[in-house]
Amino acid sequence: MMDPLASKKLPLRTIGFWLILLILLAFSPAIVSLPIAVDVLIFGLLALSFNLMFGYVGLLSFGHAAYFGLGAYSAGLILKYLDIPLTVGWVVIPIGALIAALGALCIGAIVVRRTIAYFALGTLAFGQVLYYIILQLRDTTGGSDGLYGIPRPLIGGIFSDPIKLSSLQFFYVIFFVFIIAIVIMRIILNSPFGRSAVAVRENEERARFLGYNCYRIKLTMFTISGFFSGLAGTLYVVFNAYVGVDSVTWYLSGEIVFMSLLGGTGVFWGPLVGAFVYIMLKWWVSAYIYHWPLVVGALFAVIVLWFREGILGTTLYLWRRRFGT
Amino acid sequence: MNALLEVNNIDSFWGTAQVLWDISLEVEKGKVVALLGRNGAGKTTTLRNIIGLSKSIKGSIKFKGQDITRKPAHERAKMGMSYMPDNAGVLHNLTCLENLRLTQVGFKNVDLDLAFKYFPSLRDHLRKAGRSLSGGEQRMLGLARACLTQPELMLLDEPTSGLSPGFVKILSAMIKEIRSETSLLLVEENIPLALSLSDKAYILVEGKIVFDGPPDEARSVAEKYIIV
Repeated sequence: MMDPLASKKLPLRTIGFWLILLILLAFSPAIVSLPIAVDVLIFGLLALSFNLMFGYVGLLSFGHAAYFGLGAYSAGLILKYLDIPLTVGWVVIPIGALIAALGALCIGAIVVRRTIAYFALGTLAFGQVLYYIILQLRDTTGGSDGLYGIPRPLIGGIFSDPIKLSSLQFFYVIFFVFIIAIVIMRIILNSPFGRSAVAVRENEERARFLGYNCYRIKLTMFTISGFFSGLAGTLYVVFNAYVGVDSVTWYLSGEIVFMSLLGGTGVFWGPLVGAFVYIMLKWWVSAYIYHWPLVVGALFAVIVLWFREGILGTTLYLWRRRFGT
Repeated sequence: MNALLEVNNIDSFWGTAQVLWDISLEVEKGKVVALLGRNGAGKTTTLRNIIGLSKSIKGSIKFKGQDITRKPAHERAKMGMSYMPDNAGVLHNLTCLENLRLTQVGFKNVDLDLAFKYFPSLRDHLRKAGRSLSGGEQRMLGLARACLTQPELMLLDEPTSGLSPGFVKILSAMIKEIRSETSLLLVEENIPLALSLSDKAYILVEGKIVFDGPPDEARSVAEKYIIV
């Protein structure tokens, strides 16, 4: 049978969308500012990774900051304490992400068996455990002061002297990793495994009698999600040369949920849009209003009560209603 | 004896209420078995126990000679069982095609053409979301999906419930065609239809099997316990 959805050709609309997105992101330091552009990429990646669990498997993790923090602290500790040449310091990016994935695998093995509320509380509890461990290991992690003085990786060093990258050049490194991560996420979600995850989200019981091992699917997606969250953490450390204990708190976990819901969890790009809007709001509103979280909180209430599809989801819905595509 | 499925003395509960008492039944290779009873008699619970969605606290279930009592549902499905629940089991937010393609994960040689062989009208609804299909179309989709993996045993829970006579004819033709390769355990409200299709019948009354025998004899028992 000719499978109607198995078309090999990418539609022109998709190519156009990717081109516009790439251009916007690549020039975002000039459009907004460099710190905002970096935050959008890092926290956008974090929110997208969170949405792999929430949007595609239907499980709300309230401790996703733990994997961001695991990646960030792993990368920071390796760069600071292991005497590796800084020209190969870039290896902390995949290593930190893998350590976060391992953490997610261990925690996920326990929590993904639980149902919705217990899953959320379980992830929150493990996140807080990690927070207190980092706080207690003050001599190594810096405790509540955070981990300072992390050297940034350099480039070159074989045929020439190592070169220190500027912040803008670091942005493009982050941009490159971000794009690769997005492409991998898309491949995973469009694979048969991604389809089976959606089946689990839709109705776990039905997925089970269709032959799906739901536990394994949820655990695998949780680990993948932890990997990308950790990846975002390593990028954060590489850019800022610092990681604070607030990167493991429930507060950041809450912000991740907020960004995702703000943009829309039913659309792949929703969390990225949510991260962008949230970060812009944070920067702009906090410049004028001291109690800026009040404004953000009010917006959150409006989104949750009346625009449950989020900004992007609602926009797409209105677009389809207006233009029919 | 050539039993594909053997259910031996199972008891099952919904919460604290016992629903099944000492149920035993068999489905032989290439046979169609009807499981009849009033609403609440325990027919669906029996099927759920067989596919592994509900647990029995006593007794055993064997499939192809292997004890599957403690096996999870997905492993039973992989062994060659498929199940269509009474609500057809369609995933509402996925399209018709996506629902069919779900079977391609984990099963080899799934040919989507098979679905259209029995239910050609599904072709017209491939891009429609499951929730926007009518009751009959959802049932067709559920049945088509259950057939795609070419199972050795199909468990069908009220496949014709609330459907048009035309669809009932299609279903009967399909069952006649696949029975050489697939055995069926059929829970059906349409008792004359179920008896006309089956080789053997069981009648359940309040969680207990009160009859087990050929369809001809089942009719009089069914008249006694169930309104035919």
